Amino acid sequence: MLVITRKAEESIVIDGNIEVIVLGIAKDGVRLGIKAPREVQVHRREVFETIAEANRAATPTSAAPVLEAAALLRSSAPKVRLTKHR
Amino acid sequence: MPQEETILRFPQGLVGFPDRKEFQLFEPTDAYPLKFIQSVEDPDLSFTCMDAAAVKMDYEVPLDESTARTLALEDPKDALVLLLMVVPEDPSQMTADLAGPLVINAKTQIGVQVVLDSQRFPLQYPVFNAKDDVLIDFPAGLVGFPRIHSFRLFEPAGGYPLKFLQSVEDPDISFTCMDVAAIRPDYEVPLGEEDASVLALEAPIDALVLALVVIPEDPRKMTANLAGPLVINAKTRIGRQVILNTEQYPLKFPILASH
Repeated sequence: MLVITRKAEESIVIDGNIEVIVLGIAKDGVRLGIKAPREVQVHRREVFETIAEANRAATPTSAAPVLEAAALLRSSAPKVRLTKHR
Repeated sequence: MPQEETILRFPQGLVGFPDRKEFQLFEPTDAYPLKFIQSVEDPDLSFTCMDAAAVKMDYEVPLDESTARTLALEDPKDALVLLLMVVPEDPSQMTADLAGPLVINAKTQIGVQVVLDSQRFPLQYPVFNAKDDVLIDFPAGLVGFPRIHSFRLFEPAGGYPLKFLQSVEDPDISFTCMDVAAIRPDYEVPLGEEDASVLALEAPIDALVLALVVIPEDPRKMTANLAGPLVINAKTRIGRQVILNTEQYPLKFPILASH
């Protein structure tokens, strides 16, 4: 891993088009600013991991009862709603 | 739920057939999900129909008090709603009549054909409209899967309302998902500037929002990920997984408990 020391308001450039700027250093953390092209997704690691894990969980195993689940969903769909006036 | 060969009684007949009051309901397993009703008085008269929920999950029949009284419907859950189907020579062009649903009290087997406003409820709703295979490009991949971009979105046979999103590059990778509108009609995705610009959505109506679905061994416990919706521009077929605040948008929303 590359380790670089930076002071507040200094930055690093990644791949020519992504800039990570140290905005401020405080007791409880470092504030970073990120300038990147719009298609580059930037996430906090723990959020990224959580969503990635949730994505992996949504890849069905061959044993997943998909059709049974679909039938349950259909039977739970709303059917009629009682109204006072048509 | 009516079993095979149930007799349904329509005290007012069907629209255009006021004196046909008894119909036998057939649910041949090899024709699933199609069902048939055949007039007892006139066996030459029969109709093809389908459970409304199998056509359109969020379809709901507004039922006035007098119709509810005719049906003696105490609990909306007792209602069985069938839609009449038109099956042309090319079955992929099949349509359902959303304006004239048959509402049946499953407890008493008494039914009424309800006539709805065809401006709001189409007479010829194309059943397979949304069921075609489409290719969708996710330029950034999905979170945790950055290197797969091209996906096939399709509905497995008998799997409505579930869909599969399968990687074109690696067909072993696929995800189960469904239209968020069928889970939470009030769900809205706050789109950040970056997300909106990648998706290039011109109008909110162009957005198809899917939630990834986790189906455990006990399917009653299935959950939807509302924190990482897949937003797709239906016009350009470009999609993006949007990451929302997991404190506000649950990662594991119990789908069946919500109904």
